[in-house]
Amino acid sequence: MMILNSVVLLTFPLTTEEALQSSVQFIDFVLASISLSVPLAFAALGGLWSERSGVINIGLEGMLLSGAFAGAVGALWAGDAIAGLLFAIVVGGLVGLLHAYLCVTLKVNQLVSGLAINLLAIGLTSFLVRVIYGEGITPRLPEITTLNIPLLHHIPVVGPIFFQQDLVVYALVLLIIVSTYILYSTGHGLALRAVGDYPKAADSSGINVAFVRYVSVIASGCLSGLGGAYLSLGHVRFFTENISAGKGFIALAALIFGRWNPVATVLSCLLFGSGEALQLRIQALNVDIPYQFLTMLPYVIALLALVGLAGRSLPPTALGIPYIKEEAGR
Amino acid sequence: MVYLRLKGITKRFGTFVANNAIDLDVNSGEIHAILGENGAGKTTLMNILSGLYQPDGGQIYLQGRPVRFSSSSDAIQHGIGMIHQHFMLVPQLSVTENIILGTEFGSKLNLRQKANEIELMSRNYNLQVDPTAIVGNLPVGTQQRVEILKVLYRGVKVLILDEPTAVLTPSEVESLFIILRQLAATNHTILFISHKLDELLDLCNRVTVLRRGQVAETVVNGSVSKAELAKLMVGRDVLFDLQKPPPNLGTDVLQVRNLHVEDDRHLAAIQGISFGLRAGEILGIAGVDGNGQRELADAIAGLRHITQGTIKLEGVEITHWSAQQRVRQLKIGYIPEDRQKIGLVMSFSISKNLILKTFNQFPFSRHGIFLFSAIQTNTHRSIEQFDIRVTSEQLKVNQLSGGNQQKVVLARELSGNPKLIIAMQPCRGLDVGATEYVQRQLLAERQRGAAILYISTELEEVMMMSDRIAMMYRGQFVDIVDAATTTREEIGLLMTGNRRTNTTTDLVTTSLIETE
Amino acid sequence: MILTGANPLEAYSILFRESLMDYYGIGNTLNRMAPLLLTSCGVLLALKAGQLNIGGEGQIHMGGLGAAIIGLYVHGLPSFIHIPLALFGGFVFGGIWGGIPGYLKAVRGVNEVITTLLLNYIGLNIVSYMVQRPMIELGAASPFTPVIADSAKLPIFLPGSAAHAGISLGLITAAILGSLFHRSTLGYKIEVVGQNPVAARYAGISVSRIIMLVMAISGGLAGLAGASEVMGLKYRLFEVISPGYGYEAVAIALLSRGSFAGVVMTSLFFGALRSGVNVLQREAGIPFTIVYAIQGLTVLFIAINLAVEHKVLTRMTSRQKELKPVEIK
Repeated sequence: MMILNSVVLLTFPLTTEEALQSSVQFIDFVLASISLSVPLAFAALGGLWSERSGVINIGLEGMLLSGAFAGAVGALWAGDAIAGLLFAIVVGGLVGLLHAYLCVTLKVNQLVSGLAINLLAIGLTSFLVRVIYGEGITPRLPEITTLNIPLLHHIPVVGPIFFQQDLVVYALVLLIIVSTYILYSTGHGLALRAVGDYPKAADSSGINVAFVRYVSVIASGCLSGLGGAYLSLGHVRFFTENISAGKGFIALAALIFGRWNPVATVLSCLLFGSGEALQLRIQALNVDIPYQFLTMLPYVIALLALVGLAGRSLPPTALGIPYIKEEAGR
Repeated sequence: MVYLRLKGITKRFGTFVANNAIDLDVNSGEIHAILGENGAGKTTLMNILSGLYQPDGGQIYLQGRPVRFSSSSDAIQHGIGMIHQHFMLVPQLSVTENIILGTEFGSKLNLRQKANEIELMSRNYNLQVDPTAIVGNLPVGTQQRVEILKVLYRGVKVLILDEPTAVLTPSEVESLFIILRQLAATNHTILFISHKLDELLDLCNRVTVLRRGQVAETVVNGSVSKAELAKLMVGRDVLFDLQKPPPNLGTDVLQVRNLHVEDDRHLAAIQGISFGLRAGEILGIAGVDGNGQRELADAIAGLRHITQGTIKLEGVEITHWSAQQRVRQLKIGYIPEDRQKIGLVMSFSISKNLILKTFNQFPFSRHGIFLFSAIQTNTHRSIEQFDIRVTSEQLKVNQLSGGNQQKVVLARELSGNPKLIIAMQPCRGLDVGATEYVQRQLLAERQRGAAILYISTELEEVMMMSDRIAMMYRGQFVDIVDAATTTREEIGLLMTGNRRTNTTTDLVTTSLIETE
Repeated sequence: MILTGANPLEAYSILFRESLMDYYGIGNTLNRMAPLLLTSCGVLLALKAGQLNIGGEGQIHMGGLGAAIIGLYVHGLPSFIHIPLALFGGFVFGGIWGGIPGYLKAVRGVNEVITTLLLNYIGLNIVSYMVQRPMIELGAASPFTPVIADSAKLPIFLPGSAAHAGISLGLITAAILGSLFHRSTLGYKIEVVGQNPVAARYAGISVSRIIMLVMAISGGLAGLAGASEVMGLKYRLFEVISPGYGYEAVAIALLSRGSFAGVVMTSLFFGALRSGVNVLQREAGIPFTIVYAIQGLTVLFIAINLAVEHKVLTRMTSRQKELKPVEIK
């Protein structure tokens, strides 16, 4: 997709001046794609942790939104973006705790729990934003500082993309590496995968299924919260009602498309993020396409991705099935 | 020397007493059998021993010292490990990963090192496995070895095996017995739960018979006969022979020619089966699970697509008729393997289940609207006719016992006087009483003139019920023998794919040689 | 509620008084209830077949679009033809929007939860475009279409109030669906598919056909809700004609425990809640977005309730199972 986009953009210019301009545009486009993909990626990774342990999480949307709101509130209250990010992680974790409690302990239908969280999130955040700030939008938020890796960020094209990002983006990269490592190269990851595929076996091996699921779901909340905070604290720097606009669901689509594998999932997020970036670019180019068709684009892509892949993507086997320890009865 | 002693073990579930003051002694190096029918309390007792349940009364002694297990991990730490009937293995993970699951929590997992350790161990115990293989791809007998390795890896001295031979071929059973004898010789203690008398008599030193939660008796192998053991188990004389009258053969009902069927993964499950079935006879289909039995039953019932070959019912070719067509127009009864998953809608009432195949037909409905009085009459009649023991007719099927549920299925499938009955593992999970009932019903149908396909993995059952026996192996019929004249040895040989000939035995399939 | 400084008790009493006691208030309540009832019936229908249709928002809007098209561009028809035609248009548009996920699930195995959700956003965008460009009323301050033909407007149900006939549609639908599941073979088939698709195949029921049918009708009913909003309430198509009815309908369907009578009751409750909340804003200054929070909390409580009941139920049935070995011989 990105290749397509960049080809489209690069074939436009004819003169070297325009070529220079278009390489700048290309960099802009890539930066925008990355920036738009970050919340998606955090949410999708969060979803991955939760679902790999067997708990469906369609409440990612609500967690993103809560994180966005918490990030804004925290940052405004403390005057510092980092505080906002931390607060968002905590709040996200709490929402995750709620989902975990509902799904693991109470064994509520996991789809219903996720749905309830989404409703609650949009209700409470819209309500509170009006109550606290008097209108549907917060004041301008503090900025997240950009980290410039010395020397390297001066390399043309590659430099700004890879070595001049803010803290959160680097955190994401770290997260991908750590996630993959934990999942496939540690005993904890093994336990997690066992819990998601065949909890009974995990249980009989002495693993506490409920504990593992709690931890993963809370983690998914924390990650989604952080991603949500990036929505508000990132480049737009304000919070408004429903700022997440369905990104949580696109993250889910990315998760399925990425077959519950960390790297593939994040790449899918990049795909969808670049779709959104493309939409904004085209709008800016003043081409007379009604903006709605462009706004639709990420969702359509996600839908087509799912359809194209249908049936070949296998979720963790025990996904969505609450684990009941056999105690009474035989 | 007594290694393990249970004294007065009692366990209640509500008002139901599953284990009632059970006393048991096991010596180290002994292979001790626990015999009993379904519901006698064997599994409960073993679950207590392996730490899954807590006893309500009594005490466990390990080498003379009283112990209490708070969990299965706790029991394992004391050296007691259970190998369950349904393996506790994650199919998606490798052998090594499954064995070390739950034991490693460091920051680095060196799979290669662990794999080597496991390979060494497997060689020591003579339990050949490939540590890197994915468990889901392994044959059942090998998976069982992984299960055994799993508990041995954790250093257990007492192994409890719960109905381990249910899913094995005779040769795999032999391998298992060799392994168990070896373990016993190296000072491990084996507890062997089973209801298969022949096996127990072959393998075990002593047998403890449980009946209705209590110890009926503990006997030494060799001092009792099979019939006496059975009597201890059930509490009355058990007939090992249903006294089947000779078949009253009628016309050809079913004609299958060169049938080819694929399984869910689009691999060939049935590779050219031909046979005929006449009215009034039972054709038993024996063979270890997974050789195409399910696909055969599904294909004839119309639930699976046939890639090649023909099926004719009373001369009419029905090869490509859909399930719907077959349900509506033919009289085929299908007793499926898993009644809870396939045969019944658990949350529906008995009435609603009884009309599952006929709901679209008069007298139960007309123009898409139900006629409730006819449905009710049918329910009432079925309950009486098929001896379904219920306190109320309104009960939902998930509130019934396994035996009663199967009776509901029978009532539905048999009440239309079907010409062809496909019975797939009809007695699975049923106790002796319910099994007897089902078998008698089917024999009655046979008398009436129905043609019956009786598919089961229990050899004794098949041999008892059938007029002819077809042995299924890798999607083909190895041979069809006459039930009255065949022997266990012959059947055992057929099971492994060797067709009987006068002098030599040849393998039916030319594909990969079976690795064991 | 306490956060806004208002007195909760007082607020609740105003809420219910205004929505249920007052004649005009009842009218408002019924108007809010109508789309909820229709959409929830659809969701419950899908639920009976084991499908979770969260695409109500998109389907409502597409339905509104369909009705508006017929209401605006078809002329010269008498009311008794125009109204059913427009309603039909709404039903068809919504039905397509529900049928697509249905098809994808039945034939391609794509989970309907995500497809219906994604189609929500796509549907909203389509309607937004249509209202802003081709169908816009020129010279208007904010985007909306011209008023639909008089012959396409729904009659008033309760004279003297604003309640329109949409509610009757809803009640009729609930009644039809209720009897469908009580006494028809189609209802039986749907339930079998929902409870045990494997057994359904075995019974000769075409699972994929049922899933597609159910999803299409479910979408169609939501479309009907959208149509009734356009034809009865505002008489125009706006960019947004549903303040979250689609999601609320899911909550209602779940709360109703499988009974269509329950759906009627719960829709009434939620409808009263919504109409009362507007009054709250006027009189007590509480922002109306609180209704979302209340919804969310209600869903949560019912879900917890359901789960607890389920646990009690399973404990009961497992105990019964244990007693059984004594029952049979």
